[in-house]
Amino acid sequence: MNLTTTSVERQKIRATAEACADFIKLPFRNQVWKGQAGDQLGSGTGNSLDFQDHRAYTPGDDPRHINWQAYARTGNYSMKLYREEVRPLVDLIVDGSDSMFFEPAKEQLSIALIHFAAVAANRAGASLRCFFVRGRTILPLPEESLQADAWPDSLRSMEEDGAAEPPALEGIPLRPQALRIFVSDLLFPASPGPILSPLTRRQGRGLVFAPFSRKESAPDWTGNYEFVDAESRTQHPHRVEASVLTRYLNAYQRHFDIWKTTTRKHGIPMVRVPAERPLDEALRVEGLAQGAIEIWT
Amino acid sequence: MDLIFGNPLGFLALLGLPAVLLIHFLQRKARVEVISTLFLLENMKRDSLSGSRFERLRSSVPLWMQLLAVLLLTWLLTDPRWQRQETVQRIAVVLDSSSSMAVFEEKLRTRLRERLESLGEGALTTEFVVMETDLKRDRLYNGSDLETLTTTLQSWQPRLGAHDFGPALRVARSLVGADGLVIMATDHLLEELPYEAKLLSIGEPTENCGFAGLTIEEKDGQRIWRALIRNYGEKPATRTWSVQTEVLAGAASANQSASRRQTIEPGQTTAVQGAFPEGKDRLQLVMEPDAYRRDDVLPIIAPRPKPLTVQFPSGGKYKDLYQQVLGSFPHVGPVPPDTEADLSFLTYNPLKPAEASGNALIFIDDPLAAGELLQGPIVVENHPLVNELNWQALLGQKTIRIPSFPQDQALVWQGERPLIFLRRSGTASQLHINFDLNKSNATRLPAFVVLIHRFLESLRETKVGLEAANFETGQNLQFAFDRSDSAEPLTLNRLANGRRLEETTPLHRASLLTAPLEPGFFTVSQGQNALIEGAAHFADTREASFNGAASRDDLVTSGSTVLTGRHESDRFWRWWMLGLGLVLLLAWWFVRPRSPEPQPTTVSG
Repeated sequence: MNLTTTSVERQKIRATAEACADFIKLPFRNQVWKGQAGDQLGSGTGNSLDFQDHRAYTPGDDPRHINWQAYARTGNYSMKLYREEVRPLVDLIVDGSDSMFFEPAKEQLSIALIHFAAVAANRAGASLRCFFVRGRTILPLPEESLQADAWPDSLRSMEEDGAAEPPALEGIPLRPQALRIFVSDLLFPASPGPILSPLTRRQGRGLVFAPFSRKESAPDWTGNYEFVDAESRTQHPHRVEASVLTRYLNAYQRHFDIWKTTTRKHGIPMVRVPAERPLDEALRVEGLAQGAIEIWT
Repeated sequence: MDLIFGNPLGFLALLGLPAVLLIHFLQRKARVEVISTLFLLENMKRDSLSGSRFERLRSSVPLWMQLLAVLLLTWLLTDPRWQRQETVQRIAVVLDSSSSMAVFEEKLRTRLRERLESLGEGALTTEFVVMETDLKRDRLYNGSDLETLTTTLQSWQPRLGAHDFGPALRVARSLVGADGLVIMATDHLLEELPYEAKLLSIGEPTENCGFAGLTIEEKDGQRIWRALIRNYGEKPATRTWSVQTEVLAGAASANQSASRRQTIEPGQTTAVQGAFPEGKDRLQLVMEPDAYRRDDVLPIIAPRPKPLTVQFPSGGKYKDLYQQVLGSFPHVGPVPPDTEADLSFLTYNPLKPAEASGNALIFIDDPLAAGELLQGPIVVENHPLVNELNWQALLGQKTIRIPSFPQDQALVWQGERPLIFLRRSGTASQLHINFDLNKSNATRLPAFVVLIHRFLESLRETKVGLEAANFETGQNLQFAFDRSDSAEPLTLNRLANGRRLEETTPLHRASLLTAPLEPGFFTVSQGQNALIEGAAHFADTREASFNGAASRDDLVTSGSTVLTGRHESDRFWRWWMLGLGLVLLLAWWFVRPRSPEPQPTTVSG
C-alpha cells in the first residue's frame, strides 16, 4: 500500500478533522455508560448531580443524600441516588485494506474520518483504543502513533497476504460496553452479518463510517479497461458498455442496501461519507439522520 | 422497375463494412484503472469480459450505427436510378464518308453493332438514325431494328475526300435532341467533337502505296503522261503496275502492258511516265491492289480543250496581224468554210462603222496616224481580264478613236481615252483595242498577251462544245451547255465494276454535277451532244495515308451518360442523407467522451 498524501498534508487533514470535531461530536449521549470516572453519565450511581434512584437509608450512608421531602411525607428515611460520571470507551477499528486509500480523494477522506473519530473521542473524554485490521491481521495502534502520524508506517508493515479477505473483527479485543467505530468502505463480497456482529457483542455499540468516492459510486466507464484490483493488484480486462455500467451501478446499490439493512437490524448506524464534499457536510449528509453524530450545543 | 447504378464504383464503399468490423474487433487500447469494486464486476463476468467477441457485436449500438452508415453511404454513392416508364432513347450514328473508311468497313460494322446493342439495353425503345457526313446523300437508316440497320450498312460506300464533319454532326444532334446520343464513327482520332458527339474510331495504321498525281505534256509532238507513285506507309513497298489501253464495258480483259515492279521507300514518291500509244487518247495505269484500292487505278485521258475558230478579214496584212496577235495561242485557228466562227477578228473603219455581231476582237487600223504618242497616265480598271497586269510600258500613237458607249466596260485608260474596253452584245463579248496595234508596242507587252489569252479563255468557257480533261474524283464540273427552255437535261455516263451507268441531271442542278466518286472514265452529254470526255482519278493524298489512323471508343465512358439520361435518380436521396447524418450522430453519441469529473475537496472551513 502506498499513500499519496504527504505528512504535511496528513497534518492538514488532521487539523480539518479537529475543526470538524469542534461542532460535530460522537453520539455518546444516547448510551448508558459504565466504567471509570469521566464526563459521561454512567449507568451506576455516582457523584454527579443527575438524580437516578431512591433506596432505604442504612446506617453509614452519607446523611447529605437523605431525601428529607420523602421523610416528611412518609416518616421513613430514604436516600437519593445520583448517576455516576464515567469515562466512555471508544474502540476505533480502521479497515486497513488498500481500497480505503486507492485514490487520493478517498484516501484523504479515510484519513480525515480516522482523525475525526479519534479527536471526537478525545473531546468527549473517552478512552480510545485504535486498531487497524486487514483481513485477519490486526494491528493495535497507540493513540500517540496516530497523533504523531506514525501510523502509515505501521499500516505498511501489516501483512499483504489475505488483504483481500473481509476484515475479521472477531479477533479484535473489543472492550465491553464500548462505542465501536468501524471506519471501512465495506467493499468486500462477504455477508455483512458476521462482520458486524462483533461490534454489538458484550453490550457494545457499533457505528460505521463508510467512506466512498464517485469513482466507485458513479464511474464513467465506457469501452475497454484493464481494471487493477486495489487489493490484489491483479489485472482484469473488461469491456464496459452502457448496459454493463448500468448493471454495475445496480449491483453497487444493492451491495450497500444489504449493508444498510443489516446494520439497521443490528442497531448499528451506518453513515456513508462522500469524498467529494467537505468533511462536515459529508458527515451530516447521513450522520445526523442515522444518529451517528451529534452537533455540539 | 428496372434499377441500375449510375456509379458502380460506389460499391467500393462497402469495403467500409469489414473496416468497421475490424475496428470494432481490434477495439481501442484498454485503459488501465485501479478500482476497489472489482468484485461487483466479477459478478457480471458474462457481460463485461472481453473474451466474447460475438456477444459484444450484438450489443454494440455504435457498431450497428456505423455499419448502417456505411450501407447508406454506399447507396448514395452508387447513384441508384430507375428506368423512366416513358423512355425512348435516340441514337444518331454519323458515318465518316471519307474514302479511307473503306479499309475499315467490316471492322466498323462489327464494332458498331456491338456498341449499339449494349447501348440499346435497358431502354424501352431505342431509335437509331444512321447518316453520313456527306449531307448530299440520304440517311442510311431510321428505325428501331438493329438487324435491319446492320444490313443497311452493307451498302454504305465512303468515297469522299477529306471534309468537315461539323454540319453532319449538327444535323445529327438536331435529330436526336439534347438528350440523345450522337456517335461519330471514323478512323482517325478527333479531339473535342462539337455538339457533344462521342467518338467511335476504328482505324489502325495500315500500309498503303498508290498513285498520287498526274501531269500531261506535249513533247516533240508527242503526248507524254507522268504519274507519281507514293508509299504512305512506314515500310518499303514493292508494287507492280501496268498500263491498260483498252478499257471498255464488258471487255473480258483490257490490253495490258507488261507489269513493271517498283520499290519505294517509306514516305518517298517516285515518278513514272510514258507516251500515249499511237491513235489512243486514253489509257489506265493499274497497280497491284492493297488495303486501300482507290489509289491503285489511274485513268488518264489526253486533254483536248474546246477549239476556238476565228474569222478575220481577207488580206495579207490582216493575216499577219492575226498571226501576230492570236497565232501563238493553242487550239485557236481560222474558221473552216461554211462554219460559224467563235470569234471575229476585226478592224474599225470610221468610214464604215458597222457593228460587229457575236464575239469579236476589234482594233484600229489608222493609216494616217499623227505620230504623236498618247499622253496621260495609264489607269487600269478592276476587272478579271486586266487584274494585276502592268500596262505602264504601253506606248501608242494618237489615232482615230472607236466610239464608246456608256454601257461599255473600260478596262484600261490613258488620260481621258479608254484604251481598251469591253462591249457586251447580247451574250457576245467584244473586246475593243482603241489604238493601232501596228503603231504601238502592245503585241510585245506581256499584259496585252495575257489579256488576249484571258479573253479567249472566257470565250472558250462559254462555248458549248466537247472537251476532254482529267478530273479528280468528286470534282465539281464547270462547263457550258444549252440553257434554252427546250434544252435537254444533262447525262453522265460512266463505267463502274464493268457496267455502264447513266445518271441524268436536270439543268437547274447542273451546278451540282461532279466527276464520279470512283476512278474511271466518264462522259457528260446533253441530248446527242457530248460536252465532256473525262477521266476521274483519286487525288486526295490525305485520305491515302493511314499512319494517323487509330482506334478509340468514347462510348465506354458515355454509356453511363446514356443510362442516366433514360433513368431517373432516387427521389428520396435527401432522406437518405438525413438518415446518414442521424445515424452518424447516434453513433457519436454512444462513443462521445464524457465531461471530466470535478476535483474532490475535503477541507471545510
